[in-house]
Amino acid sequence: MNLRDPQERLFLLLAIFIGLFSGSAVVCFRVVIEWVRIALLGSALRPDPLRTVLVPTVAGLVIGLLVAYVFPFARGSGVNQTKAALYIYDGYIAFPTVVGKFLTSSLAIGSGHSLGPEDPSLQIGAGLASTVARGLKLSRDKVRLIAPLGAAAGLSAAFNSPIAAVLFVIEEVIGRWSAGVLGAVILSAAAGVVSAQWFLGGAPLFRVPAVAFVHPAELLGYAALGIIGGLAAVLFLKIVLAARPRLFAAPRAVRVAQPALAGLAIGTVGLWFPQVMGAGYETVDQAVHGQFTWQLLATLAALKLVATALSFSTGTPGGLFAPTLFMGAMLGGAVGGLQRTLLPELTGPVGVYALVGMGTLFAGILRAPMTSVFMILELTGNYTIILPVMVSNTIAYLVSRNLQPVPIFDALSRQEGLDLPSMEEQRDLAVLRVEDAMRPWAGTILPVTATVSQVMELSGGEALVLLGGDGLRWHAVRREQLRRLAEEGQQQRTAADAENRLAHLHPDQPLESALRLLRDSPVLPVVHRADFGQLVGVVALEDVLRAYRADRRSADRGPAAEVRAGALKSR
Amino acid sequence: MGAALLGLLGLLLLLTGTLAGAYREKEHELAAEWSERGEAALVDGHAPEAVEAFRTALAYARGDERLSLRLAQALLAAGRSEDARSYLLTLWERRPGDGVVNLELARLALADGRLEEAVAYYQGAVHGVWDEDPERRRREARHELVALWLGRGRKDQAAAELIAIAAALPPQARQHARVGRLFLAAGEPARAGDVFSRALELDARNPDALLGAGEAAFRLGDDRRARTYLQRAREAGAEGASNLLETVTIVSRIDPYVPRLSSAERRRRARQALTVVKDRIERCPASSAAPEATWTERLQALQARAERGNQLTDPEFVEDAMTLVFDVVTGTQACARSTPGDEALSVVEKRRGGLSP
Repeated sequence: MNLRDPQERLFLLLAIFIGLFSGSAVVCFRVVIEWVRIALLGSALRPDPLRTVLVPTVAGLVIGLLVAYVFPFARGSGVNQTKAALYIYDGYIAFPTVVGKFLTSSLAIGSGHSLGPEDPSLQIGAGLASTVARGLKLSRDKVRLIAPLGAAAGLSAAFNSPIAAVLFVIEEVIGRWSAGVLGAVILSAAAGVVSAQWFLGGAPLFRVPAVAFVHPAELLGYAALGIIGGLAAVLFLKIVLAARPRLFAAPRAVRVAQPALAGLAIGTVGLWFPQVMGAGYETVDQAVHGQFTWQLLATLAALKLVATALSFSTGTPGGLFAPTLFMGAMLGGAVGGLQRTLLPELTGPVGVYALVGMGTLFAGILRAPMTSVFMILELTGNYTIILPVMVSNTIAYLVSRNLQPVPIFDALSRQEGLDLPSMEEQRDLAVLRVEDAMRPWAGTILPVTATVSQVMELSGGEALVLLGGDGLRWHAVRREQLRRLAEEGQQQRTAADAENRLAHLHPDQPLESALRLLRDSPVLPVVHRADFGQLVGVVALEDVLRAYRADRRSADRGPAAEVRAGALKSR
Repeated sequence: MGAALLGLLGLLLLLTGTLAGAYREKEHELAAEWSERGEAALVDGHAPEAVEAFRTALAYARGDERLSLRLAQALLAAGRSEDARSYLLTLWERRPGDGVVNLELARLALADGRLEEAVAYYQGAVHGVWDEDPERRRREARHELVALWLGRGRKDQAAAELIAIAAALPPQARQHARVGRLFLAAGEPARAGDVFSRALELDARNPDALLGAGEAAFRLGDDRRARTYLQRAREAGAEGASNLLETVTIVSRIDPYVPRLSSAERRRRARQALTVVKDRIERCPASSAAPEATWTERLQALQARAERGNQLTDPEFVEDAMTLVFDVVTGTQACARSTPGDEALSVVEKRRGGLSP
């Protein structure tokens, strides 16, 4: 980003503006969810039985009707929809979709459906940013850039954690670290948090107790939590990915009723376990304070998994962040509690396991490993647990990746027939380098000072001769060019003058830089970084293409490619 | 267009501010309502309901430290000390100098037998910040620390804390009497006497102070002064004053080791001691090591010597009589009662052994 450019400076100002705009909208969203909850379920943490069953059921019916007939693009979490807007519709998100997302998600979460407000906040933020950009008649490129700014602002305002929001948008939505966007995303996320803190106060999402890491041997316990968390994440993903297409394939009337049926099921569970209803932050808070037995924690984790799978698979608008944190806190607490029973000397407070568990499930289900680590640190403000968080999150991420190769957002978009770029796959793509394509130079290398006649004499009829070795410049001279010069009587002319100087490459440079430099040159010299006169090899266009073809063949055989092929076939 | 968008942002901020303000107000109302319910439930002794109510209140007043503390206290009242500890530790992290939090954590640590931790938290409470009546709350915390030390036989530590308490006592006889009583428990009768004297300066008819002053004087071996205080205490209606006065009176009659007594008086007191110990021999079963028959025979022989001889003809009488008395006291320790006679025998034995009674 060039700050001398007035356009770029204006863009940064716009990022702050977008952040304030989206952040304020998300504050309204959070407040409305709470109003809806109090109005429908009452102010008690344990609502009365009749409301517990009726409210999510009736609200589910209303949501089903709204999503089917009024706001068809409001269903789902919002992350995929934002990505789709970015990669398919040039950053366009219709304003009615934003309104629909706001209304239906508020009703769903406020009435006790097992979903969270963070992912919808991301879409609301992106949608408002897109609307503003269109209002300002910005270029298509800028509109595409502005939507992620709104997404970051929305997420940071919902979570009160700007670092996690920036990382998530980079990891999941934009997919690359670009200096041009990063500064604007950070500014926007910061502005989003400022507006949230301005209106709702700076209290963290959870009140975290004093936590400590007891003994290095305890890392084994956190490794166990990583494995269990990874398996739980896979179970959740498999249920959602199996149930969703089947439920979506039902006739429209049945689809309309699905959120109501999910609400009925959740309300029934809520009669005995009201903790599973809604976003569940209060219950997470209790878990990190070690308020439950490990048996109850395990039960709540299992019930929340089923309840969230039900809510999400039926297309009820709402996000996965909060339920994921809930499941993680309960599962972490359960594992910690069990370990404390078996190995009391080596196990720290159950609350620490609950905290670590949140990140573990986040890494396993949402597959944003960097976000999962920084989010926990940001939410807790405690860096002493960084080691357990890293161990557990990494293991859960690896377990989840191995057993469910395609991340949930990618799999969901492919189920909907959209082939959005998979950020995880992009991260996994091995970058081809010049050394993967270069070959040794078998021909003659002559000094750049050699004359036309010398070159013709010494090169022995080769079609192409390299001139160089003085460490300053390289030239490639074709035989026919030399012959033409000789016919013109310029035998004593320096052969190097007949051709432009060649650009050179180094073995570790990305292969795409060779493509950019090759242009009309028949070959490019690949030289040593410390000695430009030392030729390591050469690269020609056909070498580059051969390397890309070889890489493409291996990529086409990967598991993700098979899933993608299957999804496209089913369209 | 830019101006329109700025205007739109202004409108949105206004709307957000209004909505958030209204919600914050509602949150305050709900927090207050649930907090009141919690307080009422605590007063009614319904701790589980109080826990639920405070928890709900806290959901509407995130980060409210008073509510967190009340929730922790409700959890303690409900017997959920582990749960309470977690909340208290969170509060302690934020306010390590808070007196109430330190005191509650000290009590929890003490209940769990973690003495060092308990002492550290008690110290935190003693030197901590208290919102209401800080002097009294700090003093009460120190009193709990004194009780901790006394409960573990660490009288020196208890005395050190008591000295600090005594230095800043309010001008109330009752408070002085309480501290004096604890000084006595910590084996500091001289300091106790000083504090009781101060209490009597404040209220000359305070029954606790009179009783304590009498006991302190008695422990210091000043039986005459003790009797004076105890008589006044009995007149003031102090509970236990009569018994202690009787004990002091008996000790005054039977203790032959008081300095500056004539030989005849020593002999007379030794004979009185034999009379008191006779009752003990008849009441208590003899142990195999010291058969009752032997004590009875020795008692009869000594009584006969008392009848026959005098100080000049039997100068060993006092020592022999008191040896029997101490043998019986030691041998029948298990059956000793808190009667003035038995108490008096113990006191004399302790004084003889150089111990404070």
